[in-house]
Amino acid sequence: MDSYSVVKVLHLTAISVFVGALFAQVRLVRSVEHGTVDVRKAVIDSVARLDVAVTIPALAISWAMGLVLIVMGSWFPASWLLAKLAVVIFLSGTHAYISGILVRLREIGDPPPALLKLETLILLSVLAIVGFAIAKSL
Amino acid sequence: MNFGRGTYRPLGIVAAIEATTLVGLMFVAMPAKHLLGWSWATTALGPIHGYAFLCYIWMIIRTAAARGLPARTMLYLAVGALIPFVGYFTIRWLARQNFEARISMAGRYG
Repeated sequence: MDSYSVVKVLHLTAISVFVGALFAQVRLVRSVEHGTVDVRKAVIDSVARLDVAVTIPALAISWAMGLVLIVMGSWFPASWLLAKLAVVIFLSGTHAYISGILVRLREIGDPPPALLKLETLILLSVLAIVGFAIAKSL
Repeated sequence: MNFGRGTYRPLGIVAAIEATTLVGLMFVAMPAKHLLGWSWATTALGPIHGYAFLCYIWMIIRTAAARGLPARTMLYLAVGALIPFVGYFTIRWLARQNFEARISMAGRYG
C-alpha cells in the first residue's frame, strides 16, 4: 500500500468516527431536552467529554489528512474539491457550534436549545461530501 | 505570553499558532520562494497555515457559542487572522476577556 492510500485510510477512518460521534452527541443531548436536571447534567457531562476525547480529535485528524491528500494528489483547485470543501467547512462549523453549546450547557445547566435539531442537516452534508468525493473519479 | 484561562484560553493558544504561521508564511516562506527559489517553503508552510487558520475559525465559532460572543466580535477575530501580527493583539484582548469573565462569574455565584 502506497503512502497516499495510507493517508486516505486514516482520513476516511477519522471521518467515520467524527460523523458517528457527532450524530451520537446531537441525539443524546436532544433525548434529555425534557428530562430532569440531574439526568440532563449527567448526559451532557458525558457528551461533552465524548466531544473533547473523540469528536474533536477525529475532526482534527480528518482535516489534517485531507490537506495532506490535497497536496499529495495536487487536487487543488478541482471543482469537485471546492464544492466538497464548502460543505466540509459548513459541517465543521456546525460541529463547532454544537461543541460550544455543550460547554455552555455544562456550565449553566439549562435545557438544550431547539437549534440542536441538526441531524437532518448533518446527514445531508455527509451525503453531499461523499457525493463530491465520488464525483472526482467520474 | 498570557493566553488567559477558561474557555478563552484554547482560543488564545490557537490564535497564537495561526498568527505565527501567517508571519512565517508571509515573511519567511514567500521571500525564500521568490528570492532563493525555494518553492518547497510555501508548499510546506501554506497547508500548515491553512490548517491553523481553519482551527482558529472553528475555535471562534465554538467560543462564540459557549460565551455568546456578538457577531461583530467574531468578525473582528476572523478578519484579524488575515493580517500579519494582528493575531498577537487578539491574544492580549482575549486574556483581558478571561479576567472580566471570571469577575462576572464570581458576581453571579457569590
